[in-house]
Amino acid sequence: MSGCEVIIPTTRHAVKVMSITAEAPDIRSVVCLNDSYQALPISAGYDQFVRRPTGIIEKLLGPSAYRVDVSAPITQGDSWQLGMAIAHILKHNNEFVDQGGDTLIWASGEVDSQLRVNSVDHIAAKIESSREILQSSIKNGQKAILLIARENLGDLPDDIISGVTVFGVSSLAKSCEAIGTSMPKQLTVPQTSEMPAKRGKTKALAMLVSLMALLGLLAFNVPFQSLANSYQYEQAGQLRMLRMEMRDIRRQKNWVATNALYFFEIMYLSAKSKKLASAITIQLNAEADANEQSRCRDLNGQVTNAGRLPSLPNSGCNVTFEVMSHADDKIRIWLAAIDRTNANTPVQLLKNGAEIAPGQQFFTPAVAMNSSNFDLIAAISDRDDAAWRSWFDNLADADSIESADLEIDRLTSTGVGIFQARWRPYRELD
Amino acid sequence: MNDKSEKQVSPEDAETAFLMILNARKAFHGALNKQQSKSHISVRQLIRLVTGPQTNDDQALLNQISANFNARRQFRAILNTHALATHQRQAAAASTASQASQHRPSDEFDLYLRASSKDDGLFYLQLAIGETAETDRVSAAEVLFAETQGSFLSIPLPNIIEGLAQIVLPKSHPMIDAFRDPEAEFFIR
Repeated sequence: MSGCEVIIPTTRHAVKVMSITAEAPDIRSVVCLNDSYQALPISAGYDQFVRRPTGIIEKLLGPSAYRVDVSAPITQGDSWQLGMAIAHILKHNNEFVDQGGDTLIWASGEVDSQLRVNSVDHIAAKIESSREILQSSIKNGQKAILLIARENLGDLPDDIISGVTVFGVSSLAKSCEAIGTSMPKQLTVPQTSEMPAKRGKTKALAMLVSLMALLGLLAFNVPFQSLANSYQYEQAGQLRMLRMEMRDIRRQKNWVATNALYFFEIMYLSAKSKKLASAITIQLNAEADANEQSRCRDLNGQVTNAGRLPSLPNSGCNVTFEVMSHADDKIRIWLAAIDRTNANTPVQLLKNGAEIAPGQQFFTPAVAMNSSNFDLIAAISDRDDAAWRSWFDNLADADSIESADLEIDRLTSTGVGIFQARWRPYRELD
Repeated sequence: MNDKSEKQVSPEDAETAFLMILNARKAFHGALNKQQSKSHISVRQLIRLVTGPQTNDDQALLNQISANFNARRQFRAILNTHALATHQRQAAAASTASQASQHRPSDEFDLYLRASSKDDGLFYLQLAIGETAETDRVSAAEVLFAETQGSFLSIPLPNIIEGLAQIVLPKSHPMIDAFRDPEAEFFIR
């Protein structure tokens, strides 16, 4: 075979694939109109068709982003998938050409994640719109092959162009077989539905097979790579990337993947966040005051996480916080004290950070307590704070419960511990 | 009174002269109005440009705004008010960094410019929403505006999917020059 040209038919045009270029992984795959720098509307769908976890091209061929140039617009639908997949495989096998090939492949069908070829609409109209190019191809001595889903064979028009070879296929592997190219072997997905059933199997054996199939299905759907990426991002302290990776997994809307992520979040990230939050103790130390010495010192004591504590006197006690680490490793702590007298305009009295080793402690600068509404927030992590410092700053500046909750979610969902205490005046009941 | 020196004017001639004067005056005012309507840009037009749907005439109007000091000032104020997010000019140091030509970071959205591997002059301009931005609000963005070298540009954005929108541009597109101008500011709405 000296080369194959690929036609993706629409009801208006016979669209020729002109070139396929692998792009950097940061690029979203795109289908461009040749020589026009214009991205076609199917580009978003094509990107999903290429990229893991939804796409098949990356699974089959490796690269995660491509640019495909085509000769005419393709504006909607998914019937381009078979032609696009065939063009990619031919390109991978060095059998793709944009002109002068000895074979012209005309393909229309949807390809699902199991690499099955599914039927599409308007086959007769698509053949009609391609009649001229197919006839010209045969006249020029090219071999013309029509690839469609097996279910679409009944949709062929009676006056099909003579000289054209038609294949009704059920899978991408069968399509490759039909055009005489090799299916990429390294990532070929087994077609479980085509496994021959044998008679006389015992009930136990059938159950065993079912169980194995179920386990195989589960294993196939668990996003091992994404979970491994998430874990690596957490280990490297790339918490923003971690959140984006987790968001991608959630968007798969795959029950198994969602549950796998849930366990990763609960068993690892959330547990780590709680462990870090309980790995510090904070002691409030009120300094002696000339006028109210005893009253200020009465405040001294350990601060409780998530606790609501009795109001501090708003008479100017100078208070420092002593933070002690009981963590197993070195941790980074940021601590903020906020005056909440006016709920809408919180006033930051103190923001202080330190990196402390296990068993070490640090003292914050003294802050004058002139408010009976007072919050203390601390964020604790064993990762670099470059990734989460801005979330902590946003939390300290939050002027509503909703925005504070958003930042707390960002922090705790990425394994950062949160320590909070509130001092509020007691209200007497009538 | 010297009757000899005055020529008798017929009513027809007077009417003709009057009509000629009227026509000249009308033509003069017409020319004045035409000139005024060309240079005047209403606030409604400016707001429509920022908040309304994109039309084919937008760039022509933006060019007109760019050439008019007052309109430019008003348009900038309207953009600042209605933009979902802004991307301020880059620090001077960033413009000399090696990556500055590919990445423009900011708090709410980052911009990336990457060339196609085919090396045929096609570029990908990517807009990535920052992690700290209000994702839902900023994801609704439909248009990217840029102010560079005293001119405004706009380009429609595709849907922002998973925090990222990508636009394909030829290398001669003015938005690429704007990206490379550290003084340029970007707005999305």
